[in-house]
Amino acid sequence: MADQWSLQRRRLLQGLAAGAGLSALPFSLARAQDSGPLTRPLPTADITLPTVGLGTWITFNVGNNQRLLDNCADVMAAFFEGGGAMIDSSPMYGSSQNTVGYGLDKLNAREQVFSADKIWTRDADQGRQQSRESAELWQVDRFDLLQVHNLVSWRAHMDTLRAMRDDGAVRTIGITTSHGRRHREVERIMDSEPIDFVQLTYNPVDREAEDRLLPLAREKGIGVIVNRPFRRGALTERLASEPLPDWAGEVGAESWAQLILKFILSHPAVTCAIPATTRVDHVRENLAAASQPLPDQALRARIADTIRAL
Amino acid sequence: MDALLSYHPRDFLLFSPRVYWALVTGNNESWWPLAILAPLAGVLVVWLIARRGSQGRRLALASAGALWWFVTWSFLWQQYRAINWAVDWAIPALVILGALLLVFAMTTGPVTACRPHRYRIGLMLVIWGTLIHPLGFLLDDRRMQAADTWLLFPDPLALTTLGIALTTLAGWRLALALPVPLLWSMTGGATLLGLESPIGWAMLIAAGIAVAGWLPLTQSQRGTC
Repeated sequence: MADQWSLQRRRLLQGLAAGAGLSALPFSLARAQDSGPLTRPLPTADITLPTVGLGTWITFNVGNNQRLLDNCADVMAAFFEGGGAMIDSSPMYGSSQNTVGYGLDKLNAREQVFSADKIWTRDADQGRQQSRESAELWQVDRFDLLQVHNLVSWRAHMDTLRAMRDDGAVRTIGITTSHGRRHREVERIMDSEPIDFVQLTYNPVDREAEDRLLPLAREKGIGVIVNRPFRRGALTERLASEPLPDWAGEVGAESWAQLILKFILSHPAVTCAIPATTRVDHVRENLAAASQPLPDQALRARIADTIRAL
Repeated sequence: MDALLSYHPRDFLLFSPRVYWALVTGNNESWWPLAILAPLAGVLVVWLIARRGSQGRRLALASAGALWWFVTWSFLWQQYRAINWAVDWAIPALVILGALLLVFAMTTGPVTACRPHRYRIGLMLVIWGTLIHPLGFLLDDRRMQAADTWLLFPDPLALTTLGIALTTLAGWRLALALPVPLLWSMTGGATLLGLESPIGWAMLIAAGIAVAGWLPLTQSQRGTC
């Protein structure tokens, strides 16, 4: 897997070199490779990630239902075929970890996934054990990213995560929040702890992160994973009956979902968005949004204003 | 506090309607033909309660106790637990509830309804849980195969248990038997609302009606039953 990320990194650097003029613009990123989704590097590690990942909250909690397990594996297959890498889950998400493990095994895709999971327990001593149990469910040897879920007992778990990263038991570490909660505390952690990633909610109607967290992430070289890009589907459902504006075509967006994702990815601090879905066509649509052109500042403002007004 | 208030009831749900109703459908298939027999069993329980005989009421009480053990094992433990870890907290209480109802069925003397309104409310809840609740599939855009009946699922069993308890128990036994099915009705109702099923409102209303059937007696006629 490291080879794959290194290859993507080389492609990215080649792309950036070719488009050096573009890289000076505030909301423009050069296309990193000839095909597949845009990628972005993580400054703290030798890792470059496709900018659209796959969330598993709700959608992958399907229990033991064989038909639904296979449906999730189909979604994962389309995700990997389209060049996706990061899948994000948590012990809190019911059977989602098991579903991911089923899909990775069925698709023989352990080398393709960038595995992002979480520690979610109030017991400070259980962090390492919980991550081992999670890795068994995923059927992976170790995680590429372990995060403290919603800052639960974060001080104690941060010690564990740092030690695990030093031991090589996990490649990168981070923290998560959602719904715009506890941003002041997140900011303090970003400022004081040597984390690789922060996961937060960001979309055209939830923009609090723009004030301090996203600029701080850029300043500190922390990767940003965006959850709830569609507000768990509520945003795209609300927009479904509205016609897509003609100007969406300026950035190649063919749906509201793609326009929202392009808005998110056009922020230079964002590393990866992780929409969750149960549909193969939606996975392909999401991955297709991770492509140039991305909106400039004027178009970003137009997207946000339009969506807020609808 | 601000963070807590920022949650929507839907945020507490770990699973989608698609997955939950698929689970219900699968459970109905696993225990076929219990789903079809459930309304008939419901009619039988209504008859046992309505004839006001002591043995019949004990049988109704025992059937509710045994069903809590069965439903806890067959549905909650074997299936629902896979998608909702929170049910781990409820399972011990439901096992104890089943034991309590069985013990009460064996040890309770002849019971007559202390007040007609409690009896009527109890009987209505039994009819609601056994015969009306399963018809909720008509309002939910789900197939009949996803109907949840009192022999197999905790929501209608909780409503039925509230009714059986109100018509067969009194005093401290009733006070011990009601809280768990009441709590399940409320959490089950909230879960169904989270799944965008209007049946959730019916569950919450039924829980309120059960409380209304219980409270006046405990306040004005405590110890007379």
